[in-house]
Amino acid sequence: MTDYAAAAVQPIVQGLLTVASLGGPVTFTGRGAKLIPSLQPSPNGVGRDNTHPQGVFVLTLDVGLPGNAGAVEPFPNNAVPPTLAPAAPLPRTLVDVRAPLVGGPPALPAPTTLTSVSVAYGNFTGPASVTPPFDGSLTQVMIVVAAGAALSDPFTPNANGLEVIVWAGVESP
Amino acid sequence: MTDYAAAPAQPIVQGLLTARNLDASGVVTFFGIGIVQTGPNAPIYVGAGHYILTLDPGLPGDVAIDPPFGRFMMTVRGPGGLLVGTPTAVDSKSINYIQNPVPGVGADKIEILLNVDPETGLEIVLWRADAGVELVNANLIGPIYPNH
Repeated sequence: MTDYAAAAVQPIVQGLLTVASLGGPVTFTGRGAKLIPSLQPSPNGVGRDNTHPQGVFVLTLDVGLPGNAGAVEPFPNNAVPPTLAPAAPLPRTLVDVRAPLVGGPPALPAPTTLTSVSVAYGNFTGPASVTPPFDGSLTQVMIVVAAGAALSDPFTPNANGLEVIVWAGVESP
Repeated sequence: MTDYAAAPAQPIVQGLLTARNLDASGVVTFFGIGIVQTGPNAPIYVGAGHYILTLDPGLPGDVAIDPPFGRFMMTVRGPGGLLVGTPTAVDSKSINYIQNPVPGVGADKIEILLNVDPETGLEIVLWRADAGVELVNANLIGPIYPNH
């Protein structure tokens, strides 16, 4: 096999994120990260940022490999010019939507209504006892999905879960 | 490591693209590897959400790619700061390969088309994949032991 890759794709996080119902409990099945704990009495807040009832999920990178917490390095905020110094330049995340199963029985796959999918990196939420002490690294990945402008969970009729892969890229030479 | 991939993903381009159009003179920048970042072939801001990038000469950008072999991934980085958690306005993403006019060269530029500029950035990865049966694989198709 010819090895001419700019950077190998070696995931540090990969898994499936699902919800039990719209606004319901969140589950992450995979490796390299875990859901943030709930700050609410309800388990529905697990994995959520406690501000948005739907459509926003926060994963904390595992300590050590494969999550490799600390691998997401921030770029200095005062870099000049800012357009040449994007924050968190290295992580790459792939989010794929699993099609919702609607109608039936039997339920059939249908096009997803989630038209907006994005990611962000930072230290967003979670009790201090869970969020690692700030050492300059970014330890959390936020995934935001919405139907149009409305934050919406990946559950029927919107979708049927999110496949998530995170890996580290390389810097400019 | 077990190697059972149908085709290994060996990116020839990967990085983070940012676009700003604060004063109607849009600027697109690329932070990563495999794309020309300066000079006459630096990234071009065609319009909102519309950018043209030139592959690096030589590996890993590989000068050009035969479009049927191109595989591309892009992920939007949504609003940050106080607006983190807000959905991105990008709801349409597509890629185009621009052929070099010289026959046989292939596509040495890629064109990204979004409906709007991404709020924070766009993670992109381009790799070369198999595009059907190649001669090198021909012997793997059909009976492995034709004489038995």
